[in-house]
Order: sequence, then structure tokens, then C-alpha cells
Amino acid sequence: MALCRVIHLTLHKILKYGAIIHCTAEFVGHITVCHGSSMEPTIKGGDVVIVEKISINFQNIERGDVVLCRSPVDPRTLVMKRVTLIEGDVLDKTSTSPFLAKVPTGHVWLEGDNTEQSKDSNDYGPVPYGLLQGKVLLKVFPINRFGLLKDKCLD
Amino acid sequence: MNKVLVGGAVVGVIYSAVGFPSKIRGRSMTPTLNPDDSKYSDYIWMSKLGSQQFKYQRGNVVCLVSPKDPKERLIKRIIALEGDTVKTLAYKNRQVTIPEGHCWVEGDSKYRSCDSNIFGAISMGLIQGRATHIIWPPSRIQRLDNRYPEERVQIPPDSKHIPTSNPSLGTSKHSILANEKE
Repeated sequence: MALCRVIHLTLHKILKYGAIIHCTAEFVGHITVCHGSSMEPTIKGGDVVIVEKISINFQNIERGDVVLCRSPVDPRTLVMKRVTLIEGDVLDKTSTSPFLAKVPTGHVWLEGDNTEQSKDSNDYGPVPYGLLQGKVLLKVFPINRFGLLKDKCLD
Repeated sequence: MNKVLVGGAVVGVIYSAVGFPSKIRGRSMTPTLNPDDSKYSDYIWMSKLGSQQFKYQRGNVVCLVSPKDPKERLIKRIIALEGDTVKTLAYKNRQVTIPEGHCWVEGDSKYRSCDSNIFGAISMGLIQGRATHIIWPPSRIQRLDNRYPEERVQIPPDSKHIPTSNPSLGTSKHSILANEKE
């Protein structure tokens, strides 16, 4: 009987904390391990970052923010890029991208900091805002690189 | 306090992982949803099960974030998936081949709906969940079926999304046979 009680209590705790953790990750924020080199030198492969979800829901995304986004060409993968232009901004004429001159309503322009190694809006065009999943708030690991994400110079 | 927190968390898990009821506004899915002769708005069950896998089929009724306004949610039917060629209704091109990771969505009420005929193929990542049933008003309780205008959609034989046979429809079997012949 004692064993039964222990199992019951453990299960109860797992479900309780599982639900709370799930909701926090879903609606508030979560930690993520990054892969790939498209955001170097800001974020390197293996870095751990905190992603918050609240700014996205309040449409509070600005130029220069690093965001987590569903890839427009594969909805099952998430990519991390920097928002360089928001709706209504005019694209740089000198860039090689074959897309429109203006970022359309409800869209953002994403670019990796490592321009050569990054598959971004220069390849697939402006990205609908609805694909954004969260804003990267903090780098937490490795410890010596802990801190806010330094804004890349944007004019 | 503790009970409120846990209760809220359980509701949150159901909302984000299982599904939730949702009211339909507007006439873009007439006659499937909100038919002209119905006095009340339909409520549907929006299923979130498997919404992270994005394994949708042609004919599914889905909820998506509008590509033009992220605050707006649309309810539409998937007409074509990546690789398919679709004959459009009022789009700038007569025919569109759907790019990778995208799909073509339309309202059932032709020409009355703000859909892919206006904004083009959309990224699958915008889809939030699938409408499975009408749950209110009681006289309209029913499952939503998977039909789509097959004559307008050309599915390539090497498509990753060959329609699965569904005995209740009988039509999707045809497409598989057609694909095998080719």
C-alpha cells in the first residue's frame, strides 16, 4: 500500500510540474540550444539562449532583434535570424536579392549575421510575421559569453 | 492559489496541445461553415493534435495566421500541397506550382474569400491547427470532410503527399491509381 501511495504521489507531481513547465515554455519562454553557423559571431553552434514569447504576441519586434522563426521552406525546422527590416521598409538596391523593393505588410526581412553562410530572406524573400516563434533575450552558456545580444550596427 | 495555478496549467496544456472550441466569423467558408440559411454562428473544434508535425492533407480545413496581418486568424481549406500544380481562380497567374514547404488555401465560398487567390501560396508554418468537427449549434453537429476540387489540382507522381485511401470519400483512391499508372 505504501508503494502504491508513493507511485501515486510521484505521478501526481510529474503531471503537475509537467503541465506548468509546458505552459511556461509555450506562452512565456524557454531555453534553446543553437546549431549552425548562420548567426556567427553573435551566436555560435552549441550556445544556449533564452527565448521569450511575449514580445511576439504583442507585435513588439523591432529592427535588430534576433528571433526564432519557423523556416518558410520547412515548417518542422526552426531557424534563428536577425530582423533587419520590418513592414514598409525599402530594400537596399545594391543587394543581389531578386525580390520586391519593399517589405510587404505583415512581413519582416530576416538575415543571418554570417551573411555568407546563412540561408535567409535573401534566398526566400520576406517572411510572414506569423512564422516568428520567439525573440532571443539572453545568451546563458558558455558563461564567459553570457549577456544580452549586442545589436549589430544597422543604419 | 496552488490549485488555480495547476488548473490554469492544465487548461493551457489542453489549449496548446489538444484543441479548443472556436467561433467562426464571416462567410468565407459558406456553405460548409456559417451557411446563409443559418441564424447562428458555427462553433468548430480546433484540433492541435499533431500540429507540430504539419502533416496536413488536401481538403483539410485549417486555421492559419493571416500572412497580411499577424493578429488575424483565417479558416480555409487546403487545396494543394508542395509540388502540386493548381489552377487558380482569380490570381495573377492562371496556374501555380506550389513551392517547397508551402500550400494553397481557399475558402469554400469562391470569390467571396480572402485566400491564396489574393495572397498566393502560404508557408505551412502559418497553420495553427485543423478544424475537425462542427460542435454548435446542435442541429449542425457533424464531422468536417476532406473534399477538395480534384480537377483543379495536378499531383506529381513523385509527390511526398499522395492522398491516403479513405473509404468514406471514394475519390482519393482514384488519385492513387492514377499516380500508379503514370
